[in-house]
This record gives sequence, C-alpha cells and structure tokens, in this order.
Amino acid sequence: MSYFYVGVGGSGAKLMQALIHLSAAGLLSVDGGSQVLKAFLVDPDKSNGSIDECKRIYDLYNACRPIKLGEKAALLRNDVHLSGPWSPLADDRASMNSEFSYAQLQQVNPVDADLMELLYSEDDRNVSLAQGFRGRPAIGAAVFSQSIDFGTGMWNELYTAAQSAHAFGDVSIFLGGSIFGGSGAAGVPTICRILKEKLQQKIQNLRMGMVLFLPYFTYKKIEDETIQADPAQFSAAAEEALKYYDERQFLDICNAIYAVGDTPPARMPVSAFGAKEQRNPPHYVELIAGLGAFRFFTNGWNKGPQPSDGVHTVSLASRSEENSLTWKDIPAEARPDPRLELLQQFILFAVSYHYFLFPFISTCKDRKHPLRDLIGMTPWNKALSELQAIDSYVVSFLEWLLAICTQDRDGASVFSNGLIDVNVIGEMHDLQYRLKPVGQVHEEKVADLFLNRPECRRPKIRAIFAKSTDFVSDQNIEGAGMLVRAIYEACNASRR
Amino acid sequence: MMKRVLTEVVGILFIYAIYAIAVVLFYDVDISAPENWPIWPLVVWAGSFLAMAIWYVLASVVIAPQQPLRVWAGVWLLLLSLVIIGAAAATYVEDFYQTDTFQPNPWLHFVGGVGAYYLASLLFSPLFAKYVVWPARFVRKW
Repeated sequence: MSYFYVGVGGSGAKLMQALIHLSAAGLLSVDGGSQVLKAFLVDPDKSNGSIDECKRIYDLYNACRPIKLGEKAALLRNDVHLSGPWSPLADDRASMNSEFSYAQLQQVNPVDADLMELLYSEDDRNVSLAQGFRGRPAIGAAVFSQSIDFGTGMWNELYTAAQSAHAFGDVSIFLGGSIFGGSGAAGVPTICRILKEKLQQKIQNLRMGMVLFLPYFTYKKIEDETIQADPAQFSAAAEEALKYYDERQFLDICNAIYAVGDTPPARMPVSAFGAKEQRNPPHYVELIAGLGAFRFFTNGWNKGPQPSDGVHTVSLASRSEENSLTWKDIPAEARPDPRLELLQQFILFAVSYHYFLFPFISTCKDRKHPLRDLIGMTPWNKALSELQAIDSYVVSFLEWLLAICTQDRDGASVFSNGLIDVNVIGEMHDLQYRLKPVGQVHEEKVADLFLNRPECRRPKIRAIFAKSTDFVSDQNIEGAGMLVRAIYEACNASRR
Repeated sequence: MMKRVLTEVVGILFIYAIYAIAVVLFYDVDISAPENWPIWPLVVWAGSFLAMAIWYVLASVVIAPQQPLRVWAGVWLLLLSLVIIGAAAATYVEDFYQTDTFQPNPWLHFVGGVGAYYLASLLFSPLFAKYVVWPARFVRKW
C-alpha cells in the first residue's frame, strides 16, 4: 500500500503537521509493518509560515529516522517524504494578468480576454498573488488548472511514484485544504479532478479522498489591504463551496470526503495573509482530520460501496459538549481504539522523555547506570546526538499538543480541554501557553496528565524509569534506539 | 521485575544468614537457650541488617531515580557510618562489660556488621542503586 497526501494552502500544511505527529505515534500502521507516506505541499505562497513550520517538524522527524528502534516499534516507524511547496505561480510578482498574459491575450485572442474581463474584476486581475489567492478561489481555480504539469517537478514525482506504487496494492491519494479560504478552496477540487482524470487511466486500484476544513478559526482583518479573505464571510463561502462539491458530484470521484470544522472559531493571534507571519497555531480540528486521513489510508474502504456504485455512506461524528473535547469525543471505530491508545502512549512517552528521562540520561556520560547500560557499546557522543534528535522532535510534538489543547476562542465561549491537563507541561506567558522548562514539571503531577481516564491508569514516572531498564528483544535495534524503545514500551506498561 | 527483587532479597538474607552463622560459631552460642545469647553481637547484626533494609527501601521507593550520584552515595555512606558507629559502640561496651560467658570478638563486629552491609549493598542493591557502591560497576552483571 502506498499513501499519498496533497496538502493545499496553509490548512493543508497544518494537516501535514498533524500527519507527521500521528505517524510518529505509529497510527499510520496499527497492525504492524512500515508504511510510506509521500506528501506534497501546494501553496502559491512558498514562504507561508505554516509551511515553514511543517518543514521544520518534518526535518526533526527525519533526523530521528536513522535511529534503530527495532522492527516491531510503533514509534517513528513510518517513512514520511515531503515535497514542495509547489507554487502554481511562475514568479513572486505574479498576478492573474501576468499568469494568463492578459495583454498578449487581448491581441491574440480577444474573445478569451473579454471572457476573463467578464469573470474577474480589474482588482482581481491585478492583485499580487505572491501571498496566496486572498480568499478568492475563483482566481486560484483558474491559475491551478492551467499550471499543473505532470511532466515536470513535483507533479511528475507524484505521477511517477503513484504509477510505480500501484503494482504493490491500492494507491491512496488524500487531499487536504480549507474550503473557505483561497488556496485550499481553489486547489483541492481542481487538483482532485486533474489527478483523477490523469491517474485513473493508468491505475485501476486508485482510491481518492479528501478532507475539507470548514471554518474553524477567525482573525482580525488586516488594515490597508483591499483584497483579503474576510472571516465574516467564511461560513457563506463554506456553504457555497459545499454546494459546489455536491453539484460537481465529488462523491462520485472520491471514496471518502471528510468535512471538519469547529464553532465557535478559534482566534488566531497574528493576522496575516501570507508569508512567514501566517503561522497559525495548530488546532484540534487538524487532529480529527489527521485521524480521518489515516482512517482513509488504512481502513477497509474497499469493502464498502465504491464511488462508481452511486451509493454513499454518511458518517457523522460530533462531541458531547460544544465547549470541550474529551477522549470520548474523538472519532473511533472501537472502544478502546488502538489508535487512541497509541496516541496516549506517545504523549506519555514525550512527556516522560523530555522532562525526566533525557535530562537524566544526558548527565550519565561518566556514570554507570542501568539506563546507560541499554546503550551498550555505542560511543557516547553518537548515542547522545541520537537521543538529542529524539528530544528535539518530541519538543515539537509537545508544542503541537499543547497548542491543540489550549484554544483561544472567539467571543465569550471558553474552550475546556478534556484530553490532557495542560498545566502539567504548560505555563502561561503573554496570554499564551508555552511548554514549561525542564525541571519545572513535577513527577507526581504526571499522574494527572490524562484527563477523563480511569483512576487505575495514572502513569508514574518512577515506574517508567524502572520499566525502561528492561531489555527489548527485537531485530534491528541498537544503541540509543534500544534505550528509546525501552522507554516507549515502559510508557505503555505504566499507562495500563 | 519481581524476579529481580526476589533475587536481591534472597541474596541479602543469604549474606546475613552467613553473618549470623559466624556469630554463632565465634561466640559458641547455644541456639537452644535464647536467654544465654550474647547481646552485643546480635545488636550489631540487627543494626547492620536494619541499615541494609533501610537502604533497600529508600533506594527502591523513596529516592527519585534521576537523583544525582552524590545523593545516592550520601545516603549509603550515612547508613554505613551508622553501622560503623554501632560496631564501635558494641566493641567498647562489650569490652567494658566483659563476662566469663563469652570471649569478645571485636573484629567480628566490623568484619561482620560493616562487611555484611557493604557486601549486601554491593551485590544486591536495588535497580537504580546497583552501581552506587564501589566496585559494583565491575561486578554487578545482573
């Protein structure tokens, strides 16, 4: 099985962040075996802060991949490849006029030029697209449909990889992007159609799915910008877009479509329409969407009706209270869901490792210790650099986790997180949560990390320390990998 | 984990059993007459055993695993010094109140009391204290 993801726009990149973290937690292949997730980012704004953050997390994740954690390890098991971002724009100063050579078009093909004038206002045609389509999907759709070329660059890479993958099983392509903005709203349906038309001739076992982000955040309008997405119009834009998906029969194109949103919307701390400033904090909607993506990738959708059958199944997921999110609210196919169990184990591993195990082990250079014994004969500096790589990635995961559990919501509604006690690992700073420094997290508090879990499953750091000294029997495991794996397995045992 | 704890506890009991046999042999104790048992060797034996038990409990459930080596070593040395003081006190008192019944064996208090504590903690300290006592890093292979 080969899994492909195409993330469009800022929301698509944020979903990719969630996919990397969920892959690290082992959710991509619950039944064992390593899977490869090939991801492709698409955004006209190549320096979008959300894409930068996604690439940063990807680099941290990949730095951990060479560590030999064993073949049966769920932890960091899957290969993730990230390509892009690909921009449909020819250059950074592009506008519709320059992309379609409007001046030339008027001379060569005045009918097309008139049609373009009819469909797009002068402002729309002249506005710089370097920072995205500014909430104008009509502009984006036109630009996307003329610029995707399967003969070169990223699209050629996707096309070639999908073709070579279809001999080994189903080829699953999943797209993600917002439905209410500019890039995602324009790119997801356009790219989906183009991919389907191009690939279905060559690949019989092609499966396509998408996640559509309904409005889930808001921000203050940016002053002095005449053309920009208006948060007040998000709901109306989403409604129109959903009609479009229905009328254009996307349910016949895709095996699965997930639509996720949230109300009241989260307030983004920095209002920006592009570039590095557009680095919106993660949101739990992306966690839900990520679980949807993995459900699509790994679930037996082939057993159900196929798009060509004309039979569609609507599955609804909602939460019990509007202002909170608990473990029970996260969509699961069974209780207990092995995916959520893996996610909890990874959360406990991250907290234990970053705040207790790694700081301690890093002081053991000249000290003989049962934990150090697991590293074996591996040179200390090599082991330490591997352990450091794990810690750096784990920090990025904890930051993501903290962000999705501490939403700043618009209006009077206060979000009550029911997943983890954020005060165990987080502290307020300038009205925002950030991770506590190492040494500031109390060992006893970790027992209260998970909220709404049975009392008997309170994790204990001492028990994790003790279990972490257990030798793990597996193939392809050595050095720092043995120690990390032992800690990870200890987190499972301690949590139960 | 239970196997490891069991091994350690049995090992400690074994060492103190040998120490007890040494006391019986060197003091020529009549086991069938408890009223005639020599008091001071038993006090040192019990004190050493108690120190070892305290060390085992502290190292197992009280001292945090991530504590620096100086904390572990400090606690172990404190208990060792109490055993030494106890052995010295017993030697002094035994010599002061010498009777015809038992010949004092001052060396046994040190070799037995201090030695049993040292040997038991060297070989059978719990998991996170297993390398605290020198030269455990060279001899502890379990």
